Amino acid sequence: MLWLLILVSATGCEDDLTAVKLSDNAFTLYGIINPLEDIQAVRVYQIDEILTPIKPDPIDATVRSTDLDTGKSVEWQDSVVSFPDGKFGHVFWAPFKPEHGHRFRIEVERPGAAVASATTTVPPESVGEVLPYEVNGGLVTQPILWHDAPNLINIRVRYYTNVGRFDYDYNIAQEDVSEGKKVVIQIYDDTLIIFRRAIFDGIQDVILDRMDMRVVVTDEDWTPPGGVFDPHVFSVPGTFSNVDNGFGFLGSGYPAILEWRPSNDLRKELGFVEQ
Amino acid sequence: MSGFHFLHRSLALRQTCLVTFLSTLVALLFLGAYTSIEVRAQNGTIRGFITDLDSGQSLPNANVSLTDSTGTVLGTVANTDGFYAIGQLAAGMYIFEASYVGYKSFVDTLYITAVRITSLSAALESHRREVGEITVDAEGRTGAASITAGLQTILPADIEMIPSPDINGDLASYLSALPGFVTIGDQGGQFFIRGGEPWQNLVLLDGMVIYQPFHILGFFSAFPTEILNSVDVYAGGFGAKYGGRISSVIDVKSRNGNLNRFSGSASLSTFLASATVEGPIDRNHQFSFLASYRKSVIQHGAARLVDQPIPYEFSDFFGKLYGEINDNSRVSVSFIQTSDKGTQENDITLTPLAEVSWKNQAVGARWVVLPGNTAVLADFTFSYSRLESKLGPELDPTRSSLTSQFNTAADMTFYGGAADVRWGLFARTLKLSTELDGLYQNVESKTEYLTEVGIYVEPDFKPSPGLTLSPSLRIHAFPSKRNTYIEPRLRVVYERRKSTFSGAAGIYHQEIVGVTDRRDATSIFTAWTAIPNTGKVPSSIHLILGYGHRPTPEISISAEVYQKWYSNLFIAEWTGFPQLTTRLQTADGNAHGIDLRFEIQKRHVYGHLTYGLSWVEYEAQQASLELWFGSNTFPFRPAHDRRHQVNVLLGTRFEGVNLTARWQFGSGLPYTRAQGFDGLVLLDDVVNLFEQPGFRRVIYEKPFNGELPAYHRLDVSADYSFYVKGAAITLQASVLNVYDRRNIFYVDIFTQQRTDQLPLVPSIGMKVAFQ
Repeated sequence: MLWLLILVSATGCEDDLTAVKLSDNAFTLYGIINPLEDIQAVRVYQIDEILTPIKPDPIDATVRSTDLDTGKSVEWQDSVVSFPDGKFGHVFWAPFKPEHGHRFRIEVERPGAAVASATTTVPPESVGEVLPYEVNGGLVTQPILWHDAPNLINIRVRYYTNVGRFDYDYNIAQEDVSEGKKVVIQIYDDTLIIFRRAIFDGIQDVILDRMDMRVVVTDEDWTPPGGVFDPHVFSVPGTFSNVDNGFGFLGSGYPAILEWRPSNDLRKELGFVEQ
Repeated sequence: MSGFHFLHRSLALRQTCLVTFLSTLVALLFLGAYTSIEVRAQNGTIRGFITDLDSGQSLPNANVSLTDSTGTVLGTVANTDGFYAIGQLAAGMYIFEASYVGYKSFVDTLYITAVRITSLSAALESHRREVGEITVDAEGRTGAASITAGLQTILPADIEMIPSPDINGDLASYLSALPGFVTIGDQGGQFFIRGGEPWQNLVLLDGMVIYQPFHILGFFSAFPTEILNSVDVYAGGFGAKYGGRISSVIDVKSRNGNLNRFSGSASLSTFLASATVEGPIDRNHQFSFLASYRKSVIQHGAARLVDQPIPYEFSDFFGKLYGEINDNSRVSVSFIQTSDKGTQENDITLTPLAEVSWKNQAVGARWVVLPGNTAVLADFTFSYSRLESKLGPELDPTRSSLTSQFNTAADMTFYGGAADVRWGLFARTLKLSTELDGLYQNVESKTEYLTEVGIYVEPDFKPSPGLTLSPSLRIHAFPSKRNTYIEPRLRVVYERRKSTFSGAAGIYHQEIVGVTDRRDATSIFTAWTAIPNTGKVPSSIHLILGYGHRPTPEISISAEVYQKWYSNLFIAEWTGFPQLTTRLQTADGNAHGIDLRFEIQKRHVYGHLTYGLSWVEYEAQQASLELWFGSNTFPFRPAHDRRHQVNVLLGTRFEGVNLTARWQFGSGLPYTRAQGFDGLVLLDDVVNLFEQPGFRRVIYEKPFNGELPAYHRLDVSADYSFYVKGAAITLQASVLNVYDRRNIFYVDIFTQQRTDQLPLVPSIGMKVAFQ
């Protein structure tokens, strides 16, 4: 009898399933405020209920930026970009060149939805300086100071030699100092590889012509969680995000480069021959 | 010769040496057992086989008792080969009785002398009963009362009680009626047993490992009921005889062909066509054969009835040769081949329908021998098993997996009266080849060879009436990986009047894993591979406590609580990219619950009610968890965590018609809800947003925090049997999902397309059996 009761009550149920319960957030945005560029751009995604390829139709969104230091507000233009792989993307852009040190807020809105917004501070103009090299127990290091830099990403050191060009990744090597950020190049370790390569290639006299350091000077927020820009880590929304009422990331920054010729003393110390 | 070839040959040579060494050791063990028992046999022993008089078929679990002149009763139960032995008997007169449900008891008086083995085999005569009649097991060998610490013995008659789309019933339908056995759906053919995943279940047929033992349509196993003799199902807590898996064991024993006369059957239903034939090979009735073939006819039958595609087809063939060399020696050779093919939607790349297929092949030989004047039963098994799985176009599959295994084992049982002792040796070589199209990003596509050797000892002590203690120990090693495992286990059964108390515990390890994408519950394709060389080996600890009670001969109840702790499971990593992933992460697991059963058997009524309450929790250990959820581990409910499970079965006989109805209910399974879809542009530099296409991304909620709707369904079946000129004809009509419940199979989160399990499916069938 109980069984029949259960059965009868169960037959009345037809359970529908909502596999996707749409987020309260309406937009995801990715953008970089670059003080070296005359045009600023931000990529905007609508949060869709069904996964379909992005269509070239305009999206119902208004993008506006505000310079919080001057109060100047600019409405950005929508553009549909067709990528080489056949996909489309919505890139909003505005023709202005932001000032170093200014704070900018980007807002993406549409009627009836919460405004997605993010704020970033354009990093000050930073200049690199080659500090005196240091010798410690036979190990030679070369410190570089980036004045007033809040944060650095994509730090790469390049050696130009007669053996070839050698690039080294220094992404996790920056130190906080009162003047800015200091990066210590492990120049002795790096050049060992160059000398091994020279031996392999049969080159006896190795010449170090010059060096450079390439960085991206960014605002303080633009730091990847875990120290690595891993798309699998970022694939979970919210992992690397500073957008309120939305997803994505807004950063500000610009590329910078410092070139120099190592001193003769340093080259001699490392075993390079003079040109 | 290159270094690689030299290394390869060296490994192969080492494996060959190991097998040779093991074979020699088996022989030495055999001789040792022979001589030692010969010396020890200072008291009388009786032994023999209990068989069916008509067919010569062994009767597993038949009761055997000896009553001495003082009225003291000594008893035992025949094993799956129908073999029994009682040792340590004082010389004297005894009344011997062998009994089995549905058979007339065999009674004899005999004198047993000391220092001697008395052989007495009994062929029992079946009660004449109507074909199709419900058999009442008044002695409680099957059903709820027979369950002890996770072990249940299933007989073909039990399976036939459960409504099935096929007239013969099927083991898969029976298993799905057991509490603690979770299936994802009608399609896919995968069982999760008390929290364990399908790749953690050991399935044996006559000692042969069957890697994918269920057909692609979940109603059907690879084992037709027509070939079954008995099935021992350990939902956990299995003894040291079994190993290499960390969740459960399904040990299928096929029956032997009829030694005395030819017989056979053929059946056709809207799902299956099948035929079975058996008979003696020689005039002395010492050798017999048994062959069975089944092939799905879904596209011509059921699919037309429901007017929707059921894109699955499968077949299986089983053959067995059996011989009784003499009173003390029996041999058999078994062969099975299964083939499954179907299509399923692939992923968001929407390569429309991906074909998935697999083939099992296994061949094995057994030699069961009673050495001379001893109380020892020796069982030697040699077998070869193979599984080939493919996903993708038939001629150019994107993923494939080929697993083969050569297995040798020697199992001995010494019947010592107060203690029976089983022990054995085994050696296995495995070849595991995988081609995974780069999708399994931290599992290399490669071919691996593994060798496993080991020993076990499993005594049954009977220190007092009704109490059986079975401590056991299994030691097995993988020389090529330099891993050795010592696995102590314990089973205890205490019978007192109408009640049975039982318990089991054990430690288990597993060196090969079935890699599948469990994030997608519908994923059928499984790639078998050796565990990655991370130093982490999947392992588990089981604990089971059970109670059974039989207040009347017709009613039995049982309750079991269980706990399984899992370590180092390999599960798919999480990602927000809308594609299937098989990147692996390790996880620990915890499964616990309670299974309850109530069962009634009367002459014309059979019914059971089962309820399973369980919790399965995994704790993931993916490196990114700290960044995502603020903790370096993350607990979640895996996709097979079914909290409540109810099965109601009623069977009766009315006007010669057997009527059965089964209602099953399962609470909703977890799934990962999404909040929509956006995109990801990787800002790892001052990128030009006009040139970066980015990736599509799923905005998932926390993993497995959603729950699918509950599953429930009513199946009914009626069959009627009659004789025409000596042939037994059975007609069957059944309806699956009587009230056409829209049970969800899966929802494609990306497209929100819902796929349901089978709708109302009527089915008819006819079977003709002849002798």
